[in-house]
Amino acid sequence: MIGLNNLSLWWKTRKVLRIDNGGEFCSKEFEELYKKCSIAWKNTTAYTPKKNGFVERMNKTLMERERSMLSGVRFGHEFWAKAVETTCYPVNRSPSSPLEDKTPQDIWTCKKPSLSHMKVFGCDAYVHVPKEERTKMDSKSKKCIFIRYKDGIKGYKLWNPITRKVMYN
Amino acid sequence: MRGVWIGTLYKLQGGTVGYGCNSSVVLGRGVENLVVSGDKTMLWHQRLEHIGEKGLQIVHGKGMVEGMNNSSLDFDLYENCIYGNHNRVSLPFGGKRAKQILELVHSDVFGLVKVLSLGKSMYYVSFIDDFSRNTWIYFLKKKSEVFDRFK
Repeated sequence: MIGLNNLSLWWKTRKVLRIDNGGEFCSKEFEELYKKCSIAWKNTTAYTPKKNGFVERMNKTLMERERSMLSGVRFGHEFWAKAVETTCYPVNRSPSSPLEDKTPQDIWTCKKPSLSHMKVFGCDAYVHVPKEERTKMDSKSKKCIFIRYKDGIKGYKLWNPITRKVMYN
Repeated sequence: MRGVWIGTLYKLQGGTVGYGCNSSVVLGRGVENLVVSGDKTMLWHQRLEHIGEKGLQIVHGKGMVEGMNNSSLDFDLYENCIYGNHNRVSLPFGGKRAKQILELVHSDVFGLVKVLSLGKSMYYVSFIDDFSRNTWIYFLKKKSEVFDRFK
């Protein structure tokens, strides 16, 4: 969660939310929340995505990378969301020209991001099966596919192609 | 305007330059010279199926075709071409950058993606902090879920 609500407790400056006049942002619930958290919201005029160019450009970046990622691995299109999610992680940890080549994560947390745990999307991952979950004859490891990083912790989200389920490790 | 009696009809010798969609352009031979320069430009503009000002100037100025008089061109606003060619002015670059984190957050809902994701999502909502450029993405099954994600 972005947690604007909680952050507003310590953060007293004027906040602005730039949105694209979409119905999903203009409901009564939203207006109440905006008022409660004293958020100013700026709508662009209808059918002018250019005025919301900041986000639209990011969408382009994310979707372009997603396409490259999916074409590079043996996943179907239903993995688009996983790919986009995974893209967002390194984007936040890569240098950005408007920030004079600092990384967004650096500015956000005032801490240099670590890339030591980065893996290639779609690579093979062998997951250790705990003793409690296997018999003596079972193999001690399962072959899965890496799909994304786990938020907050240095963990991985993996895809088990046999059971067709997502698992965390 | 003169007419020549042919059979049961008078055939007009004059010219009409059409400004509306339905008005016809009737010009007899040699009548072109009688039409004022602005009208003539408009006539050629219409004859060449609404060619642009620049194109007509090239055709006229370089003498690329025969049958066009050498008199000067005089362009005027042509209403039908506004309906046909109206474009938006491109937006100027600019806008203020935030000076602090979370001062300005850009947001957009992306979708609809026709392929359901593994979690049955069809949209995602993105929030980008203007100052740090940090991006958050949340996947949605319905657009109405935006509020829950934003909270």
